[in-house]
Amino acid sequence: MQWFRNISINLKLLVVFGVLCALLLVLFATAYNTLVAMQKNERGPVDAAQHMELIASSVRSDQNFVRAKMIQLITANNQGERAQLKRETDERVNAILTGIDQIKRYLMDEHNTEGLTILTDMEKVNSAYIATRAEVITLVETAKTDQNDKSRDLYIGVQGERFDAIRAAMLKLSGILRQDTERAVAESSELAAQAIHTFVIITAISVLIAVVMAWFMNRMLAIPLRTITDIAGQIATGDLTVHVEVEERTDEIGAMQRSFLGMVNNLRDLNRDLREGFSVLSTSSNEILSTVSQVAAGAAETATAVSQTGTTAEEVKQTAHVSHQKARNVQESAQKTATVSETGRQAVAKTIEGMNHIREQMESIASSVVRLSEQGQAIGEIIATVNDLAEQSNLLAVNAALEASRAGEVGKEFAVVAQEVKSLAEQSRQATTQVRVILMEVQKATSAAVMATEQGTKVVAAGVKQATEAGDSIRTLTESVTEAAQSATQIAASNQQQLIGMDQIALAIANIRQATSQSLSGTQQLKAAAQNLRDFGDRVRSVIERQRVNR
Amino acid sequence: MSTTEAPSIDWNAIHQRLATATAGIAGVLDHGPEEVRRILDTRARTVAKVPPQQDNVAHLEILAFSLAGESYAIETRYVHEVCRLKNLTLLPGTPSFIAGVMSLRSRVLAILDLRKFFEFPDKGLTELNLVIVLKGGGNEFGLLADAIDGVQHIATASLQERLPTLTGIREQFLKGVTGRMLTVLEGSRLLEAASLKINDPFL
Repeated sequence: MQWFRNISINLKLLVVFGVLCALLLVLFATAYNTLVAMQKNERGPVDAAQHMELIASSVRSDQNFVRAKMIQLITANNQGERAQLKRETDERVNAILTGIDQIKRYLMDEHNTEGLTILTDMEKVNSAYIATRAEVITLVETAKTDQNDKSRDLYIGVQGERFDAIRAAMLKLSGILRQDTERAVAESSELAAQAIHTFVIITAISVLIAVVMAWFMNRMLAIPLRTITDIAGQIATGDLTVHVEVEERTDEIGAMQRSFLGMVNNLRDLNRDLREGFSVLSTSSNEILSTVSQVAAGAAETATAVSQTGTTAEEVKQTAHVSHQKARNVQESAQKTATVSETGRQAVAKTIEGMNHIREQMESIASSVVRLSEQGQAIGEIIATVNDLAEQSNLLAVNAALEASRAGEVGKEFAVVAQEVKSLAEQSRQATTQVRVILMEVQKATSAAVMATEQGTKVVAAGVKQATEAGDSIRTLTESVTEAAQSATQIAASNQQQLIGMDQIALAIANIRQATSQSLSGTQQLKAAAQNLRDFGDRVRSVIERQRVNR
Repeated sequence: MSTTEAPSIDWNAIHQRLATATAGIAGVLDHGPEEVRRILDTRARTVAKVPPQQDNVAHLEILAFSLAGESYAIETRYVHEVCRLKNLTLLPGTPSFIAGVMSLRSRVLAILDLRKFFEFPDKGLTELNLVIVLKGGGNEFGLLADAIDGVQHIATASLQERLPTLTGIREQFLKGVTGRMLTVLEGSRLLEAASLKINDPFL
């Protein structure tokens, strides 16, 4: 269908009407052919069949005639009459043969086997009949009276039977031929009915095609045109939200749709650009306005600030004088501090020395205490020996007592001595036990002393470390103070320059004040101009926004 | 600056205490000869007092000793001597109460552990470094002891009869118990006991 869309409207109309004309031609040709066929049918088979039927009936009447004349001939007395009758019958016999021949040809043309069979049988009988007739005629002409009866018998007998057979066959043929005629008539009417049927179908198809064509043309041309017309109406009212549908076609409608689409798009772009442009204009003019207002306010503030700055500059000048004096004081203090810190550093060095001395003393104490502990061990060994001695004494005393007991009454006094020895040994043992306890305590005390000394040594080491750190701190402090003194000198010099600078600043401030007042009046004019610009932008934007672009 | 506030050591007091201690030590060690004599005399007089004995009362002379925290005694007439335990040699194949043998002045002496003999339960640590040598009836052996308490005299009457709670072997070798919880062993029975015939030539 695409090709049809793409051809121009002229061609489309030509195609549609050409198709309709072709349909009419087809209808006409069909009608013509049918009529001709019907005519031919009426002329041909029907006429032929009727003609043959007529021939068959004339053959039958000729037969009758021949039979009647032959009987007359047999009975005639007169030679001339006989010749007359003979001539008449000969003519009719020839006519009969001609008729049979015509019927035979027709049947052969029609391929009617039934008729041909009947006809062939009849021809044989007819030949015999003709032969017998000739014989009868010969008999009659010989003019023998007695033979009249013979020929009469012959004719009435055999010839009569043959005549009946021929007549029956001819009647049968006539029936067949009538059937043929009826059939041909029926065929002709059937042909007419078929022709009517064909006409109806072709007419229906033609009407259908014409309706389809009309619908198609409506769809191809009228609908797109109406759509475009509606869109054009909407655009005319300023509604650019329309949707232009472009079909895939190269004819005038397609070109129109594309042109419309381009036009609508261009209008939309134009509208949008304008809208954006005026929006920017409006925003910018607003910004300008606010900025100008701020500038005006700023200028007013600047004027105030400038006045304050003038006062402040004077104050700064006074302050610079004071700080100059202070810087000198700082310088002097710094020098004093440097002296003091030197003294402190020396003191720290002495402290470290003293600490080291203490540590040496501590070590000496520790070694003394250890020596004491070792001597305590020696005492312990001695005590062990004494204890052993006491135990041995004890045993000796017991043995002595036993000996005394064995000595009986004589050893009684000796037993007393032994008892005392035992008692002494016991006392010695107890004394050694006490000494051992004391020695243990001495040992504990010496251990504690050693630990305390060790702790002291550690404390002294920590003291040395701290003193060293203090010395470092003091050195750092001295350096810082020296730097401070130098800085104070620089500050004093800077202050001098500051004073000169302040005078220049006062002059500059006076200039600034003048410039500020000029700037104030300028900003007022600028503000009025920005106001005008914003009003203009708002008006134009309201005009543009009346057009609808997007849904 | 805070060092001035720290408690300073009172060196004077320390020196004084040290001097006192030194002087004390010197005083203790440097008793004069007459002072020593005086002490010894005093002690001699104290111990030389003859214990008040009533001769009309029957006496029993015993040797008291300690074993595993208990006090025992045995009559001195069965005791030959006391000595230290040294060079104890263990003997295989002997009853458990035989602790071993030791050499005493070239004589072999069997050592008896009374705790095992009396079948006391083992408890506590003991010194067991002394030997009481019993002798009599041609038999001789040593008893282990922790300490020797010495020779004492007790009245025979003060000896209580054997305790009803003791039975078997303990009852057999017990002579009696004094009022001060001193268990007196029967020395003759110990020496004669068939179970202690350790010098049996057939052994």
